[in-house]
Amino acid sequence: MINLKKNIIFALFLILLILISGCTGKKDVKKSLEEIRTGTEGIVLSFLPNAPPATIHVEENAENSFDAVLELKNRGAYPQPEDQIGAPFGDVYLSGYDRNILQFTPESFNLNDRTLEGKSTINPNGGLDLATFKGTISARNLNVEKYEPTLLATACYTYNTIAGPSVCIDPNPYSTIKEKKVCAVQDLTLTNQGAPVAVTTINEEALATKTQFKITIKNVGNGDVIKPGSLGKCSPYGDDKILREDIDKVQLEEVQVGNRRLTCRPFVDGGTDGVSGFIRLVNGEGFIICEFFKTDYENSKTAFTTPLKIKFNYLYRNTVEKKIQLKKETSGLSGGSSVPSSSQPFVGQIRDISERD
Amino acid sequence: MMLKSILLIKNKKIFLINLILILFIIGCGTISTTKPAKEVDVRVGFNGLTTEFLKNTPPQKVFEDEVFPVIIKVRNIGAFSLEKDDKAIVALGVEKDYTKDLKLLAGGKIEQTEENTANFNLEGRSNINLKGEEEVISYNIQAGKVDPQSEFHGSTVIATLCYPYETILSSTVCIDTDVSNIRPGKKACSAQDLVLNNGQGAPVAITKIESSMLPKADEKKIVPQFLIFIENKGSGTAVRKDAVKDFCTKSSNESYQSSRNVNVIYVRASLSNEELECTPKEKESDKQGFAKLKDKKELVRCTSKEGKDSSLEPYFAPLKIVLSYGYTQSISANYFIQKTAR
Repeated sequence: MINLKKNIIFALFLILLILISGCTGKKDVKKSLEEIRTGTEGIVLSFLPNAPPATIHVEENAENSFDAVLELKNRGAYPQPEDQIGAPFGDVYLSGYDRNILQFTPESFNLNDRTLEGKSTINPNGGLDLATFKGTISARNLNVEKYEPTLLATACYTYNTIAGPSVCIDPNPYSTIKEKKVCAVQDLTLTNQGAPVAVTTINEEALATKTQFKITIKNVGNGDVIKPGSLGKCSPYGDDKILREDIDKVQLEEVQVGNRRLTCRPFVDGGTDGVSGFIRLVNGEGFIICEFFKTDYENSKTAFTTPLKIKFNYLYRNTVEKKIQLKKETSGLSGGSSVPSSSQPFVGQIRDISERD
Repeated sequence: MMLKSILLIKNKKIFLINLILILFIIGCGTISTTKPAKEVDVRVGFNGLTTEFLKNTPPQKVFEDEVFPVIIKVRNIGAFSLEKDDKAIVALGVEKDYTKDLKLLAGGKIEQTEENTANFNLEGRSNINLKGEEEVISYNIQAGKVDPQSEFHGSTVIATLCYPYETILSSTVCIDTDVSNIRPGKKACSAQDLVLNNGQGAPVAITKIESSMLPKADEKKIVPQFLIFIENKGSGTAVRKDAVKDFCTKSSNESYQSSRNVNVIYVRASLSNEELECTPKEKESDKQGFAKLKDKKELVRCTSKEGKDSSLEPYFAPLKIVLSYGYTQSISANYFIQKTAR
């Protein structure tokens, strides 16, 4: 009787265990594109632990080299598979050190060769790659006991922000007849779109002849926004430098309602077609006003919702730094010269001692 | 039966408690508490060589004609090693009228040059010798006669130490190629002054370095310039390096101890692998800078001759400053010479 009871308890316990383990195993890994376009980062850099080491001992007459390995992650949602590029265009550089003492090979890496695709429904984590800079120390030029530079790794790359919120278009905003509308014109607050520059608010105003959208964008990442087309100026070693007027400029590619491109203003730097151009960010924030004329939706008699597609492109630059210490070994104890080289066999030394004896 | 089952349950409980205890003990044993070796910076402090008389040398009281020891311990607790031709000199000064004989017990590393002077090398602090080397110099003194009218005489023995020394500062400074902060974006560093309160393991210290990057617009270069503040933080006097020997081996009345040789420091500085131009100089043809301490302080200006390419991003570069000088310091001890009964 007791045995039967025990068996029943054991069987129940087993079933419970199977049920519990079954619950945790099934999870829907497929995310929608809406869920993918979240986050405030683009390419994220970090030095791998111990690469470069915090302290490097430099010896005369020895090969003093080390690796500085950068882990690159694309935490944003650009590029998508339909963009047909494997990674954003751009480069990653190392700077902040004395080139007479330290040399890195290569000095920069091209990002487009890397597997750094943006987050997508088929790769919800985004691309990840490593960039290895081989560091060589010139011991002869290191004339101090301790040299402590800070390595500054800078990534400079093109990036896109795409937002597609649904907006309400009301052809009769001043209608006096009371009728039920499917939507009401109202302001929208957005969080982020899986990019370091985000559309934060859309203030919508329905007028008699048009619907006006004030789109506010913000640098939500921790880097600098640079005018597209300045990629060549990013290198810390080139003569051409990024200037103040290149900073805080975003290019509006288009704002579309359905397949209609909206006319927008104000653009900086002039020379625009009214549809695309540069927007200046002041204290990391900027805006553009786009208009959707009634002629484009006069066939609709009642209010309707439609997606507003907003697309920006820009250059983004972010950095990461690591302090290292080069310690010159002055003692002969650790020097390579005190160790017999392979060309000097030990046999010879033994013979020397015996001869002395 | 009841008692038996109670005992069984008790035994089981004890077994379980024991098992848990054993697991805990095993777990504790596996935790390793190895700490990384602490790195010691030997280039700190304001000491070079230090001297002291060993206890009871000289004794407080000696008798006429008695031979007594005077032993001086010299330690190099600075960060510069006196090697090869760089030698410390110890000279013992006594009252000649009350001293019959003075004998240095030379041997080992101690060389005798004159009657009462000892020469020796002395290793400073380094990463493999954190305490620095020490040397003991022994003298035997034979006390002289006390004046006929006196029962005793108070006398003094003075040990003077002279040595060449160097203060070496290795630092990392910022070559700020964008001093006006015109270029947007994050810089690896910005030029800033260095305040050095802890010394460099030598009696003469660099207390402050003011960095400035002078623009040279026509050549697209910047010229790094450093104002180096020097101070004698020790208890002795800095002297000209070449005159070290003279300060401990000849009489103080002579001209070599003139003010010309006192408080003289030579300065050399290099940035990356470029030798900097330091001013003022003692002679126009000199390569090194020259500082004559006033109230134990002075400043020297060192400038890059070539300048640095201003199109580069700001970066860190190693700066090395070497101060060369001689140093002299004295200690004294008193003793009584007691008249012996006749």
